[in-house]
Amino acid sequence: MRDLRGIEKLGEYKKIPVTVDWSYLNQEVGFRKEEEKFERALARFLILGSITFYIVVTIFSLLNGQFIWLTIFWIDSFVKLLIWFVLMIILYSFYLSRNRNIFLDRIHYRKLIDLIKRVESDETVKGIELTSYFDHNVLNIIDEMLNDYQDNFLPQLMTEILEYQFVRNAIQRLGLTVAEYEAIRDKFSKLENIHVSFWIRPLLIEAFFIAFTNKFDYVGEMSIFLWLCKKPLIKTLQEYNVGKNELESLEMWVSNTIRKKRYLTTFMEKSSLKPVSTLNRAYTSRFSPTLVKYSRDFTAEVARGDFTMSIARDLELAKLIESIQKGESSATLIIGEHGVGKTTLLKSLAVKMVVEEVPPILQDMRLVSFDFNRAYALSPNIEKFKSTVENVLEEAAGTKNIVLVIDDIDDLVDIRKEIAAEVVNLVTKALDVYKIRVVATSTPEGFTKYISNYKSLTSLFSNVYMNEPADNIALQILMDELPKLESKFHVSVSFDTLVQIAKLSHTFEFDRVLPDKGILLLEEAMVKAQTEKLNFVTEKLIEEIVSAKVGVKIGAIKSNEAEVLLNLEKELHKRIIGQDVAVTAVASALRRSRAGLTSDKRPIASFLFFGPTGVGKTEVAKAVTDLYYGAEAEMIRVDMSEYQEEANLKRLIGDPQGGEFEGGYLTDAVRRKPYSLILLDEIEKANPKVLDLFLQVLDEGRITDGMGRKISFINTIIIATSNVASQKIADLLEQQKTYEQVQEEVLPEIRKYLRVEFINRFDRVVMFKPLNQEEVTAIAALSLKSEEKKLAEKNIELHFGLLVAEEVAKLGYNPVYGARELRRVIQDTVQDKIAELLIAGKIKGGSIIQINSLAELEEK
Amino acid sequence: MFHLSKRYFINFWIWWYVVEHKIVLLKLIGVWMHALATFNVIPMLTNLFQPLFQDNTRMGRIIAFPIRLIWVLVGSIFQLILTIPLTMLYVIYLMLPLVPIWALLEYLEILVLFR
Repeated sequence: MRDLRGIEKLGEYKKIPVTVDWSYLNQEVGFRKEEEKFERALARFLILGSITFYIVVTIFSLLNGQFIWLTIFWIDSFVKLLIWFVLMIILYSFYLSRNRNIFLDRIHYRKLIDLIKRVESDETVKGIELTSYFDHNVLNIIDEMLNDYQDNFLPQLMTEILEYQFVRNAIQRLGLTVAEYEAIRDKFSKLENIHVSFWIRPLLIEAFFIAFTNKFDYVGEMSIFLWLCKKPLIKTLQEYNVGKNELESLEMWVSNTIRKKRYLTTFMEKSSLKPVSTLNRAYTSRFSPTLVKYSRDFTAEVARGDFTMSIARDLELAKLIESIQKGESSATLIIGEHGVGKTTLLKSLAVKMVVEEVPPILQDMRLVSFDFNRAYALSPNIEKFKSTVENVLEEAAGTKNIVLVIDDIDDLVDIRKEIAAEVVNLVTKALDVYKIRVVATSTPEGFTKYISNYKSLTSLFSNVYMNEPADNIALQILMDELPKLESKFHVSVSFDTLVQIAKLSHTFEFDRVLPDKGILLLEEAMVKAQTEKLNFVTEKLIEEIVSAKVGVKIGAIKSNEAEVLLNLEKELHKRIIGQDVAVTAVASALRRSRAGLTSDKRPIASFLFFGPTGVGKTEVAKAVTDLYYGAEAEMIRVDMSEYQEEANLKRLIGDPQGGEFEGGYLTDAVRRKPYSLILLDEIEKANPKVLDLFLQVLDEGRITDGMGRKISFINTIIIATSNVASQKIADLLEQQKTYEQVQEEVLPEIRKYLRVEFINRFDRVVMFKPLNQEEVTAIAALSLKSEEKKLAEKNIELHFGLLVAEEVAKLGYNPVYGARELRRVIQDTVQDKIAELLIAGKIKGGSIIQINSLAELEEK
Repeated sequence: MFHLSKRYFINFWIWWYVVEHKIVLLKLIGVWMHALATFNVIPMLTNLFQPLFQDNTRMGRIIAFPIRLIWVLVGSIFQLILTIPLTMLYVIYLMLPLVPIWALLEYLEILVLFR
């Protein structure tokens, strides 16, 4: 490859020829690095020699009684001529010693960003010469590869780029150690197709387009590394759990890091010019003493060096700036959940104001946040507080260089209920009468509850909505936060762990949103890793933390758990007698969920159980709750017969007007226990409007409660029960019809009570059969076993004869109430007698009771 | 040979008068602009007839104008004073690699400026 000369066309982009100048790449014939080292050494030597020369000349001239420097422009001696030539040597030494990236390669260098702009704006571009966009490091690498490592190109390339810290960080981000990376490289050494001729052209052109599409400043070592990961190493990396998602995240991270570095440079240049006083540069503004006392000046913070930029919120920021700059006054309300990034958005606005990337009208303004809580705390009485608010608004309007931020305006309105209307009036008046620019923030809940009632106020605001970012955006934000946290906790985190954090943070903390809850989970994991003396936060650690939080196992299925899952039917049948169809349906759903095959936009599973009373519908629900969520207490039971009126809907989902049903029975319960089973008892009795609510729950896995909050049902199992057509089921079964035939004939009955689209939303509609005598006997035996357990806790042994269960079953079986009567029979025949003996002191700890028949209770 | 001579001789001049020249020039302009922003001349000039501190009274306006004018004048003088050394630095930068050539001519008495 060292013989390659001239310009070769490698391809086209938008009909623009893409070429590579081999002569340029090959000009140093593999000695680029060595030459550079030599030049630097020579430069140091020359500078040292020059200084020595100047010192010697000065000393000699002083010894001769004259100071040579005073007559340096009068060149009457060879020494003086030499002095000037040595100056030239010094200049030349600078040329040799300075980083080539800054100058020598710059002669050939073109800005990639300029090319991107020209191509994007369809300007005429004659050609793309790849070598013009390669940075110093890449040129060094390619020179070496082309000339010295032709037969071992890929492994050597992997070794070369490992020299760069940025690449080392990227390897760590992928969750790999340097040793693992080196192991991958060694594997490659043994493979064919590692010759330079096979890879060099794809490398040059593809690395260029990686830099081009990501808008890097140049084709640098990271473009090469990304190319390596995306092309030659892609399959090998999969063996190390580095897949497409991790590589996309890596690309995003590199892109954001480069973008931020570029922005930081502009910021450093411009922030030093920004005044940090409260006055503007033209002194047209006036002092605002009250506001200074109760405020936080975002622009001053930025000018002092606090650089915070929100990632992927360009659209909201543009909307905000557009809204603020309108006319002489403006009012903008940012509505978003806590933790969605409202304050960061405001800080980003402050950065833009400082670097003057805003319309001219905002360039010499300050972004000041009114701290009304401080004002309230320091006010001796409510009148004083009102007057402070008034003064602040008046000062903000009068000073003319302030964009006033009222963070959590709903809290200001709600600070004291009796003055809410007056505070609203003050703000409304300020917005209406004064020429003032205000940016307020609120949560959707706060807006609905406290602001939306005041139409005079809401009509003045332009709303900017900040929704919870999508996982991939949240991931970028987490990546942005990561270096800060890593240096704080001295623990590293890989991209796949971050992906897991973004994903799993949805499974708990439903009151919070991304990125906030992701950052919290990340911090918690880092603290745990630090205390356990781990260097890495692993996916497993994240799964452990989340599992502990939600009480449900998350992550890879362990062998003992797998056994339980595969034998779920057996587990359920320990409590459920008969009802094989229902048990199988439920077990299958749980297995699907645990294997991660269920939709993440719907509940884990939903069932409609119908059949006679007392046949085990609720018992199945309880058993599933116990098995999947860890305890029966995790079941939310809703008696749907209480929701026969449409007006009762607000009892379920909450009432924006507050009062008795502010929270909503169902929505509050699910918010508190997002991992729970919801049992909707006697569903057929509910009002159709109430059932419409569940249409959305079953379909989308979420609803909005009365306060405007999104309530997620994606981690719930929903079981609706109905007793409709019980008699018909019994009759049809008596006619010896099969299970399927009966279900088919009974379904039209159910459709009379529940709309077809509602029934169809359930994953399975399961018919429960009436119990036969044998099944009731088995249930009786189970119930008696539970009596044994209860007494065993009191250290009393209870033994039943073989016929007792049959006796109980005979007494307790009722075709109408199923096995429901069993409990009463056991109470009357067993529990009552034992209770009497216990109270009378006839039996105590260590006693043995033998019951051979219900009439015969014997104490041993 | 051509490559080496280009690299060790011609490129030096390209570097000094193109690449490094741009960096130095931008640096000098940066210093000048920084001073301009520090002396606050432009905002004062564009608001020459505006009152100070929102004092919109007649007296406020009357007082503001001479203050702003003096500010602009003093600032401009400072700016001008700064411009001289910056220009000199720029000229010195441009001349520096040529000085040994001048020294040789002076030594050989071909070009005599200081004798």
